[in-house]
Order: sequence, then structure tokens, then C-alpha cells
Amino acid sequence: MNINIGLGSRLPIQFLIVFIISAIITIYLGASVAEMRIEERNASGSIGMNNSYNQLLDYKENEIWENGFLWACPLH
Amino acid sequence: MNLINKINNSIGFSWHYAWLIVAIITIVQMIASSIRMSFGVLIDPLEVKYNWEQGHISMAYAISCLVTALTSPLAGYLGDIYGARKCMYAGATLFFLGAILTAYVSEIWHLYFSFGLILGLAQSILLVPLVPAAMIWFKRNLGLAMGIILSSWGIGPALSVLIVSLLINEIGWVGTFWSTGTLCTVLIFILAKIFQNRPEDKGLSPYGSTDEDKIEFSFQPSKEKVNEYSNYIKNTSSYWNMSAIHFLGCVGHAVILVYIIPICLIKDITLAESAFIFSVVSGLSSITRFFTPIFCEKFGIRSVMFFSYILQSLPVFILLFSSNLIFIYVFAIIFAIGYGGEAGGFAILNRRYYGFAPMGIPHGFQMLGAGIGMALGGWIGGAIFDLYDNYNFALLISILASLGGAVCILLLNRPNKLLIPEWVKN
Repeated sequence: MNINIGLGSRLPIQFLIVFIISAIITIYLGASVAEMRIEERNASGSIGMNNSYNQLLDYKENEIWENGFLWACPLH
Repeated sequence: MNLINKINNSIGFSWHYAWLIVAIITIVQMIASSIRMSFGVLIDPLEVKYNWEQGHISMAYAISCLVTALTSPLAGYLGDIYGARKCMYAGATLFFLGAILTAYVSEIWHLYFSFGLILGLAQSILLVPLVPAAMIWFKRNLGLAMGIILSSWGIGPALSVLIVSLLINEIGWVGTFWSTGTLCTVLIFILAKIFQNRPEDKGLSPYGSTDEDKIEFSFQPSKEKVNEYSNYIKNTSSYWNMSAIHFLGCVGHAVILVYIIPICLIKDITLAESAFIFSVVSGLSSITRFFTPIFCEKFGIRSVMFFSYILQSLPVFILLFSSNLIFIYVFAIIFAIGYGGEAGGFAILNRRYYGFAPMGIPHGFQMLGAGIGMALGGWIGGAIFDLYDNYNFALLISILASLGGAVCILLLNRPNKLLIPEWVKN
């Protein structure tokens, strides 16, 4: 069976615009938050000669989602 | 007077098995969302018992929302292929499994698995196929049926928070999940026994149908037909755009619903007053959620949806610029009317665009948009607060999302004819 649906070949322009704008905002905001968290960690717990033992224990590497957003965002 | 007559006609009622189907679906939807929607009262006991961080515990809720959203199209497809009744049995079994496993969590990943994955999956299987199943039962008065079902989305969580918190205090964590899991599952099994997928299974015609209507829907489509038809549906722009509109609407209200209390606190409104403002939004939206589908049928779907999105959008300017308590209440009342009406038109639009075709796939895809929108809106407010120490930009996104949804509604196809009319003939 071959049904002609008439309107079918039209691209869902609204969907595409919403998808692209939402993805841009999400990636930009996610990267901004990731950058801020990394800067905060670096400022408070940077590893150096004067760090206490507890500060060294508290040191955390970047989380996967932080690296993911920073990788995806060309502005960060 | 004419307006009142129109409303009275639209809620005209006569007894039919379809109303029992609506009652069953309403109860199952309230049950399915009960444990997840009462997540707020589960955080504290978990924090006390296992010393887990709130952020880590909340991740289970986020996983659950995401799983429900991502599996919604699949759940809709399963509903089309196997029928809503079998989905109710499968969903109830998963619900029981998820509840019992949650009773015995001892590591955080146990919670992610039982609450996030299993209960998230149970929720989508119990929620998504049931709305299309209700639609099959109605040729007319679909708006009233949808209004009853949609208003349960507000009543269910309100009841479940009270019951779950009471149970945790009285019989403890394990007892709460055993009792709610067992009782709810048994109840869903009993209701599924009474439930019928299609009017024909009961030897009936859909509510409000005439003899000429019967040609459209007197068969249960085979798997091949459902697959074939879903391909045609996916080729219509409305299939994609309705999901985008639901997404925008949910981003618009999720920002407000999640952050209304912190925003009020910043404006020096007391916690009790802020909570009351939230209750005004929740309570009033339940009423408009009931009436919106009825109004959609009577006064035009796109018009009612457009005004709902506008009412969800513009009052947020009050929240953005004013700290006056009276103005905040004005915001809460107008916003609640819009928020309650946001989702009410989709089922009616689906009917007008696709007739009595298998509706699980488009409905599932719309629920995917809605779920992602709720998750994104909830996340955006927190992210923006972390960056700028205020919610202004988040409120602006809420306004723009709702306005964007309103514009997209205006650009939808006119719902005055079926988009795939030849499906009916074939």
C-alpha cells in the first residue's frame, strides 16, 4: 500500500529550530557551570607544596559531564 | 448565554462503559506517579539512614524522569502493538519489582537502579499507553474524558505525598515500600482485569459514535499495520512540531514550578507564604487542566492552546520585576490557568490529525518532548543561579520558551481534516 499523505514531505522546521536553539543553550550553560566548578576547585584546592593532607585528599579530578560540556562548547 | 450553553453541551453525560475505562485510567495514572512524585519525602530518611548527599539522592529522581521520558515512544509503541491492558500487567509487575528493590537499597547505585531505572520504566509503561487507550473509547466528549484523566496528574501527587510520609513515620522505610508496592500492584491487576482495550472487545461502539463512524476504527491493527502507519505519521511535520511545542511548554513551567519557592524567598516572602503560593499554582492548575480539553473541543484547539501558552508566559514578567505580595498572587493565579491548560489540547489535536489510528507513537513522542523539557527546565534554573546568583535569566528563558511554544502553535496545520485520510480507507 502506498499512501500519499500530501503534507508529509515538509520539513518540521519548528522542531529543528527548537532542537538547535535548545542544544546551543544547554551546551553553553553546561560548559559555563563546568568551567566555574573547575575554577572554584582549582582556587580552593590546587595541589602545591603548602597543601595540607586533607586538602590533598579533597582534590577531585574533573567529572565526566564537565569534560563533556567543555569539549562540546566551542566558546569555552 | 451562548457560551454557557456550549460548555453545558460539551460536558453532556450519559452512561457508557467508556466512563469506567476513564475511571480505571485515572486511578492507574494516580498510582503510577505516586511513589516517584513523593520523592521529596524520601530524601530525608535516606540522608539520615545512609549519610548520602542530597545531590546524589536527587540523581535517582533525575534518572527516573529521564528513563520515563526516553522510553515513552517505546511504551507508546508497545501499547499500540500489544494493547494497553497487557501494558498495565507489565507496568504493574515492574512497579512491584521497583518498589520492593527500593525497600532494600543499601548502596546509592541500588537506588539508581531500582528507583531510577525500574520505577522510571514502570511509570512510562503505565502512563503512556493509557491516554491513547482512552481516546479509542470516545468519538465525542473526548475533551471531558481527557479533562478527568489529566486532572488526576495533580490530585495523585498531592495524595501520595501525604500517604507516603505518613507510612514512613508509622511503619518505616521497608514497610512503606512493601505495603504501597503490594497494594498498588494488586489494585492495578484488578483494574486491568476489568479494563478492555477497545469498545469492540466489549461488543460496544465508542461513546458518541454513529453507524457511519464505525468504518474508521472497527479493527485492532496488526503489528505490520502499526509499523507502516507510524512511518506515515513520522512523515507529517505535526508529529515533530507537537513534540517541540510540548517541550517548550514544559521548559516554561518547569523553571517556575521547581524554583518558585526559592524565588519568593529571595523576594523576602516567608517560607509559609511561598509554599502557599506554590499550592495556589498547583491547585488552580488542576481545575484548568480539567476544563482545557473541553474548551479545546468547543472553541478551537489552537486558540485555547495559544492562550494557555501566553498565560503561562506573560505573568512571569511580574515575578521578574515585582516583589509585591499581591502582584505575586496575581502572577500565581494567571500562571496557574496557563500552566493547567498547557497539556490539555494535545490529545484532541492527535485525534483531529490522525483520527482513530494507533496513537501510542505520536503520544509517546510528545511525552518524550515533555519529559526532556521538564528535566531541562528544572536543571536550567539551578545552573543559572550557580552562575549569576539570581534567577532572572532563568525566568527570561521560561518566558521565551512559552512564547516560542505559542508561536509554534499558530504555525501548526489547521486541525480541520485528517492528515492521513487514506489510512482510514485502507
